[in-house]
This record gives sequence, C-alpha cells and structure tokens, in this order.
Amino acid sequence: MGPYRRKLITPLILILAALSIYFIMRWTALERGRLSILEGGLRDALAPAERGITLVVNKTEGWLAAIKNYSRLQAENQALKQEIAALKAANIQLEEYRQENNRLRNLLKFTEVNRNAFDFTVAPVIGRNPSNWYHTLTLGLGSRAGLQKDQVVVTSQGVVGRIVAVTPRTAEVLLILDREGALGGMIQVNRTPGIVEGSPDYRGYLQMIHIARDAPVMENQVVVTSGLGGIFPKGLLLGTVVKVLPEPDGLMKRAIIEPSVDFDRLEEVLVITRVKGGIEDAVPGAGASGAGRTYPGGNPATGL
Amino acid sequence: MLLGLAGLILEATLLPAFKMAGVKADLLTVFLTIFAFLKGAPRGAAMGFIYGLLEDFYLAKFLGLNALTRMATGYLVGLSKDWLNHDNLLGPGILTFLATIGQGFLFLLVGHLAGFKYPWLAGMLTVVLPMAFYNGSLALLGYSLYQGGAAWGTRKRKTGS
Repeated sequence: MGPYRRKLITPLILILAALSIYFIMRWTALERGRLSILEGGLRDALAPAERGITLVVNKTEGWLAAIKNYSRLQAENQALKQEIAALKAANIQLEEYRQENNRLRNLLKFTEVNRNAFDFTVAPVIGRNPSNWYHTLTLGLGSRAGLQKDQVVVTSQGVVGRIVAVTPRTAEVLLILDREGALGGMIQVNRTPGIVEGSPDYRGYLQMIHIARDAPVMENQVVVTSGLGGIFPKGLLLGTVVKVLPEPDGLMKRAIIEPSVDFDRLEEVLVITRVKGGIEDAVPGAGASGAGRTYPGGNPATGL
Repeated sequence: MLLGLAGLILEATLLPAFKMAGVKADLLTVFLTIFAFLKGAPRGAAMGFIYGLLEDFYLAKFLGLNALTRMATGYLVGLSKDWLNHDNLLGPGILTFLATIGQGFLFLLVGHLAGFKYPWLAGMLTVVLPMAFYNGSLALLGYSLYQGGAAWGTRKRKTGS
C-alpha cells in the first residue's frame, strides 16, 4: 500500500463510521418495542444499582427536609392535634344535641297529640334519690315555673310519677316505682282494676295487687291508669304485664308489670300543669270500654 | 363532712348509672366504715351521725332515721380499730359488707317503728344484700388505694428527708 492510499484510509474510515452512526441514529430514532441485547443488557444490569441509589437519595432528601422543617412540622402536628381534639369535642356536642333533639321531638309529638287534654311544662331531671330505699327524681324547675304538689309527671313513654315537694327552683317527683307511689290502674283490654305500686321483690318492676283470683289478667296485657284516686288522669300508659302470681292467701293474685318508662334514663320529663278536659277531649271515646283505642301515654300498639 | 356531701351528690347524679343488681353503691357507708376503722368508735359515731343527718336533710323524709342508723354503724365499726390490723386490706371490705347488712337491718327496724313499712324479706334480699356486696367491693378497692397512697407518701417523705 502506497503512502497516498494509506493517507486516504483514515478519512474513509471516519466517513464510514459517521455514516454508520448516522444510519444507526436514524434506525434508533424510531419507536422500538424491543431493545437490542446491548441496550437491554446494560439497562437491566444497572437497574438494581439505580433503584438503590434513587431510594437512598429520596430518603436522604426526605430526612433532610424533615430535619430542615422539624420545627415547622412540630408546630403543624401540634395544631392538627388541637384541631382533632376540637373536632372530637364538637362531634360529641353534636351527638348530644342530636339525642336531645330526638327526645324533645318525642315529647313535642306527645304534647301535640294531647294538647286538647292537658297543658304541659318540660322539666329537666337534675338528680335522683341517693338512697336505695326511695325512688324519687329531682326536677330542675320548681314553684317559680308553676310546678305544684300532686302534679303528674309523664314522658312520651308513659307515667313517671307525681310531684310530692316543691321549692322555688326544684321539684321532687315520687316515682310510681316507689312503694308509697301507689296509684289506681287497670288492664286496658278488659278494664280489670287494681292498685299499682312498686314491687318489693321484683326490683325495678311494678305490681298490680289485690286482683281477684278469677280476673282475666294475663301476660302481655297493657296496664293504664284508671283515674281513681283523683291525681292521675285516666288512660295514661303504665306498662305491660309480664307475670301473674298467686298471693300467699290463695284468694287473690298479683300481676308483675314491666314499666313503659325507663326510669334510669330520664333526662327530660313533662309535667301536666293543667288537665283541660282529660283524655276524652283529646281522643274521643277513649273512656269507653273496648280494646284498640288510643290514649295519651302512648300505647305503642296503637302507634301513639 | 365535705366528703360526705360529695358522696351524696355522686349518689344522686352519677351512681344511678352504675347500678348493679338493681342497687347503687352507698358511698356514705363506704366512707364511714373506712373512717371508723381508722379513727375508732367515738369519732366513727360522730361522723356517722353527721353523714346520716346530712342524708336525712337531703331526703327530707323520716328525719333522724339515717342519723341514728349511721351513728350506730360508725360506733360498732369503730370498735374494730383496736383488734384489727390496719395493714389488713381485707378488713374494711369485710367490715363494710357486715356494716351494710347491719345498717340495713337497723334501718328497716327503726323504719318500721317510724312508719316506713318496707317488706322485711324483700328489703334484705333485694336491697341490703346486693348493696352489701357492692359496698364491700368498693371499700376493698378504696382502702387498697388509700393504703397504697399512704405508703407512697411515707416513702416520699423518707426520701425527701
């Protein structure tokens, strides 16, 4: 090979290399589904290292940012904690309002149904009798709000009791559960009368005593006030018979009654401040004998 | 006195939510028994009278009935001061159990004389007995806490000095 040709080889190789690169560039410029072995191999070989380094860098950046923003994050965390606590408190308050709203709505419904029969005052329950021997409630309203002795206290579920003592700001209610809170009652469906009082042996239950042995009293019968005695208006719901027991003398029997009111859960009650016309005015025909009638006091079976 | 008033308020407001077997705890009896066990018969009787009278005024019924029964309870429990070891944690629990039963019996007895005609058997079985278990358990717990607190206070004083 002469010196002239040897001089030409280098530029020729460069031109060929440039052309090859150009064509390779053109070829690889297009979208390719599969990479070449060289490209793919290199990428796969480097991938774990890339992943590791990227992870470390990201974490380090995060830590650095956290360190840099520590005081700001701490303040933010504190603020969020306070916000959560405030929201929780608000949530509890809202739940209280919701429940109070439900209770008051039930009382309102009851007063609406019975507005022709009675005048009512809503009173809050502020305390219960500290002793296990007596069953009384203390209301947060007294004579200043027009409450008087012997006014009847009810809820939308039924009879609670009667007021036995008043002060200007409080009133004491003797529950029908108390042995001294006896009142006249009757079986709603067949008008069998009896005296209803707190049961001493079935604690938390009422009992109708002095029932004739052959009287048609049986379980699941609804018991309402009879109106005898002059304090409790007739037809208010007292409870449901759950058991009938013979008296030891064998001549009479007694009925154990589950009260319609949950005395341990009372928060607001209605005090009947005036009996306008009794339940005959509220529900025409309520005083007549027969089943399936509607009474103030809300017999659940009748939907009131 | 203040403890008695606090107990009375708790019995009227909070404790009805924690009824067991239909009865609530009688905190005044629990306080009184522990007090009388620690301080003896004369002071136990005095405290029982004060607690009872406080309760009678609050209840506004059969004035003196609780004063009398609690005074007797405080006195009788206080007699145990000299023959029961104060380190015995079970002592006040058992004493409160027995004191509640005795006090309940006395309450019914004096109550009957005063016109409070509660049936004897039902009163003892449905009110006094469950209350005795409830009060006894609370006294056991309360006295253990009291003794624990006292021991901690003594250690703290020794360490400080």
